[in-house]
Amino acid sequence: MAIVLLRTIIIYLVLLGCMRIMGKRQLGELELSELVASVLVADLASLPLQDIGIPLMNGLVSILTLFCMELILSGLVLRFGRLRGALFGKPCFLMEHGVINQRELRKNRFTLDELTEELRRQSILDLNTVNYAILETDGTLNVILRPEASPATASQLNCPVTDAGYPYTLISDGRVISENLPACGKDEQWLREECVRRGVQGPEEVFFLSCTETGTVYFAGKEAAR
Amino acid sequence: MKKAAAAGALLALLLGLSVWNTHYMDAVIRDMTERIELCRGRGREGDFPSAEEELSAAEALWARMGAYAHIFLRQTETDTVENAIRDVRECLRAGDADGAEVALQWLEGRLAAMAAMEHISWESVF
Repeated sequence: MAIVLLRTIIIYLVLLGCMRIMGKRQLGELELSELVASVLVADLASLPLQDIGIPLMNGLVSILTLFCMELILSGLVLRFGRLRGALFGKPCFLMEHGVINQRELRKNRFTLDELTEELRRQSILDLNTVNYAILETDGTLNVILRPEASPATASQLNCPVTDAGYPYTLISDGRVISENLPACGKDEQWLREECVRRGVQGPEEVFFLSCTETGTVYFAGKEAAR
Repeated sequence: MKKAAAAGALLALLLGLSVWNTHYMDAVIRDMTERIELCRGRGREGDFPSAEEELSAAEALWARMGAYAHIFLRQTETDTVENAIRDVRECLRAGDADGAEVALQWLEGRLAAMAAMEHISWESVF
C-alpha cells in the first residue's frame, strides 16, 4: 500500500510539472494532438499505480515521451503554419452572411440539430440574427451576430464612459502582494492607512483588497476580524 | 521554440538511454548465457559442484544489476529468472542432470526473451 501511495505522489507531481510546462492551452479547449496526449497520459499514468509489478519507470518514460512529443509538435506548428492546417484542419464557416453552408455542414458531419443546439447554448434563437457561425479547429462554434442584432456599445450610444482600469489584488487572505502596489500607484503606507480607514488593524485582518489604477477599491475583511 | 528544443533534447536523451539500456541488457544476458553454458557442460560431465559454481557466477552477474533490474524490469520477469536459477541449483544439488538441463533451458529461454523484448523489431513493437 505504501508503494501505491508513493507512486501516486510521484506520478501526480510529474504530471503536474508536465502539464504546467505544456501551458494554459491544455486546460482550455483542446486541439486534436492535445486531446490525444491528455487521454493517453491519463491511461499511462494509471497503469503503474494499479499494478506495482509494472516498473514505475515504464509509466514515467511514457509520460515524458508524450510530453516531449506534444511540445515538439506545438513548436513545429508555431514555426510552420501549413503544418497546423495539415494536423488540426482549418476553421470553416457553417453560416456565412446569414446563409447556412449546407456543404460545410455535410463535410463536417454537423447536423442542423447540432447547429441550432449550439446557437441556443449561446442564447441565439433567431438564425436571422446570425452573420457568421464558425466551426473552430477545437470543435467549438463561434457565432458573430449581425451588427443590427449585436448589443450596442457605449460609443454607438454616445455614452461617455471612464476606464476604471485593471483591478490589482493587493491583499489576498491576509497576505500583502507587494509587487502589485506600484502598478496601481500605491505603497504600503497607503495600504495600512486604507485598512485603518476600513475599520481593521492591518492587512492580516483583510480577506481581499483590490485597487484599480484610478483608485477604485474593493474591500472584504476577514469574518473573524469583523 | 525554446521549449520545443528542450523537449527535443529530452526526447533524444530518452532515446539514447533506451539504446544504452538495450546494449547493457545484451551484455549482461550474454555474460550470463556464457556462464549457463559452462554450467551445462559441467553438469553433463557429472561435475555438479563446478556446475553450481558457474551457476553462482551467473547469479552474481544478475545480482550485480541490483536496483537496475527492479527499476527497469517487470517484477514477473525478475521473479521468473530468480526462480529459474533456484530450480537449477536444486537440481544440481540433487544430482539430477536431466532436471538441471530442463531448468537451464527454461532459464536461457527467459533470458533470451528478455533480451529480445528490448530490441526493436516487428514482433516486439506489435
